[in-house]
Amino acid sequence: MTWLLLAACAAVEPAPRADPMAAQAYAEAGETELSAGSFDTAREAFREALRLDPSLLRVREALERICDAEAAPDPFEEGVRLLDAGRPGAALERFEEARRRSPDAGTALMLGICRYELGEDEAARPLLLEAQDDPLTAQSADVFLGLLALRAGNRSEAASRFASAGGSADPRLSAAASELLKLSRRAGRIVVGAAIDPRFDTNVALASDAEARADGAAVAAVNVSSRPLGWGRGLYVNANLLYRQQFSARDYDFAGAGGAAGWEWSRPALAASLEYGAEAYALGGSLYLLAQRLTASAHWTPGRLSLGGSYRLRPEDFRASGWESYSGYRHTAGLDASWHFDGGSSLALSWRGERHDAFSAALSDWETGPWILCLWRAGADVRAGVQAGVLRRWDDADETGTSLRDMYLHGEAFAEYDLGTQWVLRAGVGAYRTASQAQGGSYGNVFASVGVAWARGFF
Amino acid sequence: MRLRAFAAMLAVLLSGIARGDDGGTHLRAGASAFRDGRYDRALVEFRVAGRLGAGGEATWYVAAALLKLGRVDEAIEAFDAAEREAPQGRDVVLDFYRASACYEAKLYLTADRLLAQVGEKAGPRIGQEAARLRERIAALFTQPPAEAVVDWYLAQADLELRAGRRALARALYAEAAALSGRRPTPYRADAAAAGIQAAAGSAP
Repeated sequence: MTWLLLAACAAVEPAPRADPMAAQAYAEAGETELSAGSFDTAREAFREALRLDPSLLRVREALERICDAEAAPDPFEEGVRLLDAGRPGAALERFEEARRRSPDAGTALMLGICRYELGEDEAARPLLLEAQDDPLTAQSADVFLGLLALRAGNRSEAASRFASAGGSADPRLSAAASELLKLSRRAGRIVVGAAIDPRFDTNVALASDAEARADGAAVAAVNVSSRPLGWGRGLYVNANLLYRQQFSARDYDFAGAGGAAGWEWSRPALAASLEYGAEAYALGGSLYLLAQRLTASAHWTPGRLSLGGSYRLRPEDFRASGWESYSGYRHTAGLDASWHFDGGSSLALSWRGERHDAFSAALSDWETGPWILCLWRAGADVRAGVQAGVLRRWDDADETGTSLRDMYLHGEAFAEYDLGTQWVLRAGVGAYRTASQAQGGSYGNVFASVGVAWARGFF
Repeated sequence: MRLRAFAAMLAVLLSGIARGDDGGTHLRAGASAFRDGRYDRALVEFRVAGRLGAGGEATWYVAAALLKLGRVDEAIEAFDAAEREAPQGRDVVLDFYRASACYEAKLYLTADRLLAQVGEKAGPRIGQEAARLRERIAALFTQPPAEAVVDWYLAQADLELRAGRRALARALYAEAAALSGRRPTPYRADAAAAGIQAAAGSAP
């Protein structure tokens, strides 16, 4: 309770001479104000009524009720705070209390959002439809009704609701709705995507500086993913193909194919997944590597902050001549933290540690280092970002007790521009540099790419 | 500045109220609180004045205090009640306050009509303020209103009518009708007219 409220609720000093008639008028004015929901003016009037006539018991009780109510935290504000902190279950209880006091559209909206966050879609829908009846909350309700439709696999209803909310005068709501509209067009039980990203590298072979060879390449990728149980939940499978054809250094033509299946658990503010995948790569027209991977990850998102961790086990089988000894197991662990700003921008920091247990012990190594990613949403259709990282690598000591150490520096900037709801124009430029104790092991590369990507959801 | 002009106006009005009249005492107390920026207290005193015999004139000042407290919807209801109860209490300064309430409630055309009547009659400072508001309103109407705008006013009016704020509902229907009339082809003018009748018919 603030000192102002303490003063306003302190004992009333009676007037030297009572004035019952004026006291009655003040009491009626207080009741008028109370029915209008204005506690401050009601309290002012009731205090004056009591000052002029201390015997007015109903006025004293009304004043006490006001002071008690104001001393208690506002359940609506408490609910907003809890929801923002990623606790929709606790927020739901506070909003239900707020609804008992004042059953307005704003409270219905917040209750609907809590039910949505809790995955209680059937209970969320009538609350959001109620909020939709009030022009002040209609467009916010449309966004969440669209999310419900998206989760139920009804993409056309979702798109219609997001399009409606996109006309909001509130720029933040409008931007979120526009982004969701694009997502609804690119989402579905089956999503197909393709990209063409011509690329230029100053050192395509990652050779030492003296032997660096610049070359361009045509790069194409196709991916198909499916969520048979609906958007954002349960089983998912995906497959992808990548092909890079060098303009002149054809021995570095690269092809990759992979597939994965996983299961995602999602709870309010918490998500976890377990995924199995397999990959195959060819270099210069010959099979180079076969790998499998098992990945477990979890993320906790209490509001704007997101914290996560992951572990991946990757058995690798190098098939290229001369590379067989690198085969083995790769264990990768990661920790990340990200902060999401209004408007869709974000800042993420992560750390990665990796152990490569090659079948040939002399080729085993450790890698570790931090990474930063800044993503800036410059408008409804434009995104840009920079990312940079440092990795330190050290080999296991060989029979002479020598352990070589390398350091990798990587920096990259990129931008994307949405061409409608399904096409994205994108460009990137970056560089990396290694410093190695190994003879001739240091190299650098600068690369740039410009391309378009397309994605569409089905069903 | 508006505050000073309002206080001066109150002083003139209150000079006619007989000393010893309880309503008058509370009107003066309300005016004093209003002048000091204690609008909570002013509102209470004006309400008490109304109950103790100052009659409908106090309602004009209740409306002004509600506006100052940011309770725009209630202010519009109170201005409407004041006009019915004590039309003789109306003057250009109160019209300016009423126009300000309408502007805050997005009743732009109603506000503009009231501001046009205010002009310089309420003194140069209020006149300048009125002219500035009219410029802002004019800037909103460089293009004919879209259908969605008329829809919004009608939907808002329906809600206010259901909530029992009939004067505000009537004003919103009237605004919708006026907006419809500014379009190349009228849009939902019948609904606006029917709304005005419904809100007026159920008015006390």
